[in-house]
Amino acid sequence: MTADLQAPDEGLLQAYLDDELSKDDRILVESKLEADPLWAVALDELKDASSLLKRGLEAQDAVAPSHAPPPWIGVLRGRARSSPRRFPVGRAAAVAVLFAGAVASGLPGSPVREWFADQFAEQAGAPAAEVASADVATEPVPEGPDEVGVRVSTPGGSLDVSLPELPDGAELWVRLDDGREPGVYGPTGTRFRTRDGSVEVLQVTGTVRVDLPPTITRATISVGDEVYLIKDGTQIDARGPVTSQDATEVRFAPDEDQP
Amino acid sequence: MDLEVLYNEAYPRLFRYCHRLTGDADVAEDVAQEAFVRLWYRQVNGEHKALTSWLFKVATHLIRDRVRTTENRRRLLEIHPVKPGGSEAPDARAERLEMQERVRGVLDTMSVRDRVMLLMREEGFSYREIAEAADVAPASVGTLLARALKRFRAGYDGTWTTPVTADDADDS
Repeated sequence: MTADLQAPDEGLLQAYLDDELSKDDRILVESKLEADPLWAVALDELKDASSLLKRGLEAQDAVAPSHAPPPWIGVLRGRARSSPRRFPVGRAAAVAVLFAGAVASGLPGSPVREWFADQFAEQAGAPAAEVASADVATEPVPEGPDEVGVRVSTPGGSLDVSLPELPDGAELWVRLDDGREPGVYGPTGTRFRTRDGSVEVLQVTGTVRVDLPPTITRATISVGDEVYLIKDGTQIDARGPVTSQDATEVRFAPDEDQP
Repeated sequence: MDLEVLYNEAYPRLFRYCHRLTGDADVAEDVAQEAFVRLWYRQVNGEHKALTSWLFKVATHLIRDRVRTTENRRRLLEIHPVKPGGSEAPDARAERLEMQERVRGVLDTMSVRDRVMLLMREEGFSYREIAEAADVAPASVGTLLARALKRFRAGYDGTWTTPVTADDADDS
């Protein structure tokens, strides 16, 4: 940096403010600030503007961000490193997540419970295998080449449901029985519409994740006309191209033989 | 890399940066999360500091893309600042809202490049990191920041109101 400076160098002063100068340049600027009041005035102007900007930005920060990590962060962590693939288009024309009343959840033989059971039985064919105990997180249920599924028991926490790379035009419905806003997450470009305690995903641009809270006892996930998942209390039955590594996540994956 | 640790450390800052840059909390959240998703999908590795810088850079580009696609529409709109609510507000809140309104109005008339540089500086990034995100020469960062600050000051004081709609002004 040349030492032959007359008028205040705003770039140099800004770098001085931001502690981005070398030792020699810092000494140069400090000597100028002591000797030339124009330099000091210019520095004060930058300080004032910087202070004003800082205060103005902090005023904007009144909209508090959500600090809680979204459920999919936990899903991503430790996940096997595979590239995202697409759902078979024929199977994923629409995705629906339906939550029935919590009251009905505790009533064995209730119409709602039976309806869900019937839906799953019709769509999934054979039911998944039983779980040995509530502490067992997952258990593969081989039902043939097209009916691989899992049964997951979630004694406490939430369950993350990952639906990778839904095709354009896919529709996702999430409805909760208690009017709360469900946890549905999608990449940039995904459009949501909230109404009547439900969330509708109007445009899916990639992997969509759904958080099923532990207090929600009834849920189904359907892809197109097929029921893929039923949550019944703490038990989740899933079928189709699905994997689960622990009690906190279920991941739907595409068929290997699909383009 | 522990994604959750990185998320807890970087997400609040990244959201704040995106929110300040766009003025839209929904867009900020969307972009901030998309940056994390891309971090994972692309298997980006490095120290937390470098990964944080990478996230800010990606978020900046995502926002730039959005700005470009909506630029023509934005040009057609007049600035109608959001007025404080009709209920009687405390003085402090009224002052804050007024400042918020004025600052947002000024930022919206500045180029994306100026905003990116000012806001990344506010987040404490180095000139080298700011240069990468803003696509400018590192040696010019100080000068560009100083001029952006002056434009902000002038806009806030009402002595400079010319909208800048292109990223590149003639002072780089």
